[in-house]
Amino acid sequence: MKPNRFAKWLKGIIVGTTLIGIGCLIYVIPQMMSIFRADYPEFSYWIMPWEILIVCCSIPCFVAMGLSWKIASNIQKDCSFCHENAKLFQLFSYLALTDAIVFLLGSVVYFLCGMNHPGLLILELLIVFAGLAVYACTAALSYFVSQAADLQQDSDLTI
Amino acid sequence: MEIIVNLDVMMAKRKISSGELAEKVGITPANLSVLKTGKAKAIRFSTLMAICHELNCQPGDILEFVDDEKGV
Repeated sequence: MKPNRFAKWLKGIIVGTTLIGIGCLIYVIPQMMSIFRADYPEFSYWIMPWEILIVCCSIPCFVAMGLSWKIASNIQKDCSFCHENAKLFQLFSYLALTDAIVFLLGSVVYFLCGMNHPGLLILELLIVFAGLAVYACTAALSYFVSQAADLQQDSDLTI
Repeated sequence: MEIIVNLDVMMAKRKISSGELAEKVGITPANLSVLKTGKAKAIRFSTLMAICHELNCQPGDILEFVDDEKGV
């Protein structure tokens, strides 16, 4: 696939994912919380803290979408292997790590405060694991892109 | 410690312009400029061979090693 076509496809995916994320934040999650409040009024004090945690954890995701858009723009400019992309991937990895840590801390604190269920905590640990996996992959990707950028520069300056 | 490219000197001796040399050697004028200004990181033997052929010179006429540490 040519860089231009791939970049456009990537941008389409980014826009779609962002819209789904916004839809979830604005409509789906509040609706689910309302249903939960109606079905389990004794746990209604859980709702606000969890909504705050979900919003806090979604912010790095939206920032990551912005970084992905920049990466796609660089690919479109035929700059796939450049140091700027390596730095963007590194930032991406830090965002994933931050998100995983914040979610883990929030889950554990809520569990200790009696606002979480042991079964849910196990599921939340799986989400944290996924976040850490994204961190490791994007950190490795950042390193590879940086090495590739050096090779590209050497190649460009070989007459 | 560096390799200095004395392409300008040889081009002046042979009275050939950058555009003309670039066309004869088969590289772009931009790449020739990169070579002349010392920004190139490497040169292919095929390019060096073509330059020496067009300028009727030896590689040592256009490439010079300077060792600042030893005063060479």
